Amino acid sequence: MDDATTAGISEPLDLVKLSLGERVFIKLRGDRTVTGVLHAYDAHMNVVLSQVEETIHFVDVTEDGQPLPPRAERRNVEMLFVRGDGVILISPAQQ
Amino acid sequence: MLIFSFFKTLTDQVITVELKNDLSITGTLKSVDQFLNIRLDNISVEDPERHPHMMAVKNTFIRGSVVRYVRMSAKSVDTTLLEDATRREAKEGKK
Amino acid sequence: MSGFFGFDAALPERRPGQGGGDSTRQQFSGFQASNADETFALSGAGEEEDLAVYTWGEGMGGGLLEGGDELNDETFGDVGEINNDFQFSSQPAQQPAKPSYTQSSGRGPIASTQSRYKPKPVADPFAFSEDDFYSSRPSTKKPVANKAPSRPKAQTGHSGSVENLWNKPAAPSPAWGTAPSSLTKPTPPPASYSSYPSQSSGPPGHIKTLEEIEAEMSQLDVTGPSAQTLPSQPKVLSLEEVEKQMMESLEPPRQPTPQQFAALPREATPSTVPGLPGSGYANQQALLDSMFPELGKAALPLQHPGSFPPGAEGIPPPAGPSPEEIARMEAIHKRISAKIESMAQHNNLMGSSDKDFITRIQLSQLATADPYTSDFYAQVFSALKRSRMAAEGQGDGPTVVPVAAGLGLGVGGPVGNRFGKMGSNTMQKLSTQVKKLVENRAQHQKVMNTAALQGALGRVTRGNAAAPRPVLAIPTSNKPEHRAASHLNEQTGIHRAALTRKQIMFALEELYDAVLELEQMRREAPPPTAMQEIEVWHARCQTKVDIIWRRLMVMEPLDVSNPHPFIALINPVKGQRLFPRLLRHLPHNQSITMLSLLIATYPQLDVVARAPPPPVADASLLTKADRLDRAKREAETDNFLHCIIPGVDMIINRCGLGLVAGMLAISAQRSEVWKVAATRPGVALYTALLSKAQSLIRAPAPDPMNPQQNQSPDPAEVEQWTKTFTYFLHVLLPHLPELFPSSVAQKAAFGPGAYLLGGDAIGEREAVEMERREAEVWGFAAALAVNAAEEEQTTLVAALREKILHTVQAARNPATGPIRSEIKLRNVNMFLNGLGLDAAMIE
Repeated sequence: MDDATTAGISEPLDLVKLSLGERVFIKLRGDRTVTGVLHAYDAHMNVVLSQVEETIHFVDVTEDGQPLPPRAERRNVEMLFVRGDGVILISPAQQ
Repeated sequence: MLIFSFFKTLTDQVITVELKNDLSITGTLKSVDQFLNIRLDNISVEDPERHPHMMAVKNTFIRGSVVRYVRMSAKSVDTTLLEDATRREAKEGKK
Repeated sequence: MSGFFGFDAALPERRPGQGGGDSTRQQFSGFQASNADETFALSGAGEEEDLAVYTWGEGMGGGLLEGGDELNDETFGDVGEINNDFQFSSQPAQQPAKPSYTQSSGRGPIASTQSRYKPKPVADPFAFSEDDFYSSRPSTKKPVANKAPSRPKAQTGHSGSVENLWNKPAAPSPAWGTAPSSLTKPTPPPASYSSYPSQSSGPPGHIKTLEEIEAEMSQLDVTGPSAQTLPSQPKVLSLEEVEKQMMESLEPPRQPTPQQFAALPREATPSTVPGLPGSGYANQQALLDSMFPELGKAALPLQHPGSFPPGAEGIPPPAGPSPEEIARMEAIHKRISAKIESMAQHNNLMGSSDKDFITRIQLSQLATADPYTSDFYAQVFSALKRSRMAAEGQGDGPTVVPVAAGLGLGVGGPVGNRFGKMGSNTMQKLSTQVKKLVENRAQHQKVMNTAALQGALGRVTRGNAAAPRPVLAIPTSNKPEHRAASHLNEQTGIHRAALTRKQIMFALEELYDAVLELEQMRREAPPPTAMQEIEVWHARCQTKVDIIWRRLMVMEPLDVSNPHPFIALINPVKGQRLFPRLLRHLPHNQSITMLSLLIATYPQLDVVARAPPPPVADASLLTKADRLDRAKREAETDNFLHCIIPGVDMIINRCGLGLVAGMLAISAQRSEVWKVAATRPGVALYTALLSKAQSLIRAPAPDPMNPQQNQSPDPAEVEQWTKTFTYFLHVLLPHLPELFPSSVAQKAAFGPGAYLLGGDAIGEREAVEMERREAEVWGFAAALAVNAAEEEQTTLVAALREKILHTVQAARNPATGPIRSEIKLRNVNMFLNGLGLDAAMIE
């Protein structure tokens, strides 16, 4: 069954296709991550997501250069286009 | 062309374009091209104090490559149709 | 004509004047190419044009800036070495090899342009330029190869006309003489001309070309003197070139010059690409480069039109033509420079034709064979929008209407979904269903004794409600497959692991693709007149449907896995959304089979097995993961009610009473109905089944769509239904109060019995939503009521008495908001009306 299932997957974007209409996790440049329901993607990794939560990760540094514990800022967006040149990875969201 | 096609349907909608330099511009989408360059009218800047030079600008042409996100209203997107279009495009790409 | 020949002698001068050298010529040719040969052939008449064109070309040359060249490289690739080949003058070092090149380059590129442009009249000039744009890089890499082929062409092209050329140049001369009149500005005369020499010394490139020309003209003897004035190396080269040219052609040494000269104007004229005249430097340069990649760089050095003239001046004296000729030349130069000036003022502007040109390039980039394919989303989206607007008759104005303006409901995040349109939609549907039933019932009851509720439900079995006969074994004629399947399963022991998530997703994508293809096929239906095609088309569609049917895995053995593969497919939201689209294409019997399977495996559905837990009073007590999980489950449930239930309703509506009874039996047989009924999808399913059964029994409005349905239902089927229902109710009754979400919530919060304490900790919005959900259950209770026999109704009321009382009290409590109390009353009345009662009767 598994062979039959994976037979149709010939390129990486085929895996992204499996997540169409499902919640995905996307890692972006600039220490950002977004999760959202994937509605569109193209070969440039441009994507359109809905019900998006964006997280920006910060590691602040004290005056003497010691890193503080990482913190994160979150934002919610109902519909978001993400330009592909910032995308590092796309994966199904944790269930 | 999928994303281009998608953006065309947003014409005359109010969208927010977030640039890679963290400048967020809200305005009415007047036109878009296949490079996803964007023309916005009636713009306002999210954080005018940080970007005083944008105060006087009323409309703008944004080079596609400097865009990080585009936020839009969920109402203006037919997600089912968009997913179908994505599937079609994926299939076309394989032929 | 003699004058012409005299002019010929002058021609060399003129060349020097162009002095820009080869590069300038190339430019000319590039821009003027369009009218080319014809104009030239027109002789006298054409001469003026030639002049104009020529000036034009020079103007272009004048506009050229060295500084912009790097851009060309970026845009069109590095053409550097090639350029070297062509710039005889600029790089003396390569001279030895050059002679051959120079010739070829001098003629070659030009020739090639000619050959390119000759077909022009037929083909679209833009197409050429665009091709060139894209092909420019490769072509630059093999300039030599290109030159070789191009060269012969050029020669052949000109060869026929060589004599003509000779004559024609001559002919032009008079024209030029007269030309001043035709030309607007003869003003800048000898002055500019004289100035040339000085400038010429500056740019070596120009000088060289001039020298070449001189050399050609004066032949070896002449070159000597010219060489003195100009850098020696370039001269040598030019001489060599000239020699070779001479060698090649038996004709006098001059021939080459006239040929070249002729070639230049010709090309120049044709090359005046429509839009380009007005276009700015960049455009021109780009176009030029694209057309003649090899030449592109050579053109760069030529920046100033003035520069060549100097060379020209220097040259003429050595050539030793008659002073008259020189005078002529000067006049020509005046005109030329005047023209250049007049053109120059438009140098940086785009004419309408330029815009046209660019637009066409852009359009050609956008153009695809099938716009519907590449622009599917926008096309369909706007089509849908248009149809929606038409349907709503919106006067939203001629401009583009904001999409989905009709659907005023904003869907927020996951939280918004919970109270979103889906829930209310389902609610509405259910309540209208129930309302219809109740109204029906009310009509009947007018004749009946309300208090006794006698016979309100038609035939009633007087079975013992407390201990009903087991009716479970009802074999429905419609379900043989399932039985067989499960038997088979038991016998063969086929069991599989449930599908993995990836397998599910993959199967779903395959299904989506198949459905998309099928939908596309349906759209492409042949005209109804073409009988044969229609048959073929039907067959194709049917094959597709069969494929889809197989991929749905409905026919897999019932217990092959948990969840059943089909259930696994409709568990994810994605699969749920596909369901209604699938249903449209499935024939009736297949959809019935599918529904039977669905009902039989209902408990395996995520939305049933993992129904969202009751809301808690204080959401802040939940962990984030908890909240997300709840939100996800709520969203799935909403989606299920939105996507699957309408389809289920539709199928049920096409069923006869026997089928409905069978389905309820399956459910009662295979699952713990109270667990299923405790979920919203369960409530929706049972309500649909009960409502349909009752309306079939009443047969208030026989469905013309379904021939199975008769005015008077088959007594056997009624009997079967009654038995099934009795059992169903019996199993369900003890759990009835627990089906209400409010009860569940309060029980969860405060323990059993707590629902009597009207805990109203939740906010108004949640409360209203809660009432909506309550309504679903009240609707279900009402459906039970109308189906119940007399005694059953009594027990039903008894089971719900506390709930009824509590609800009515809460509705009358002033602390309850008006909206909520109204909803509460409506809810209770939905049930009570089914029994012929009303909340108002409650004390």
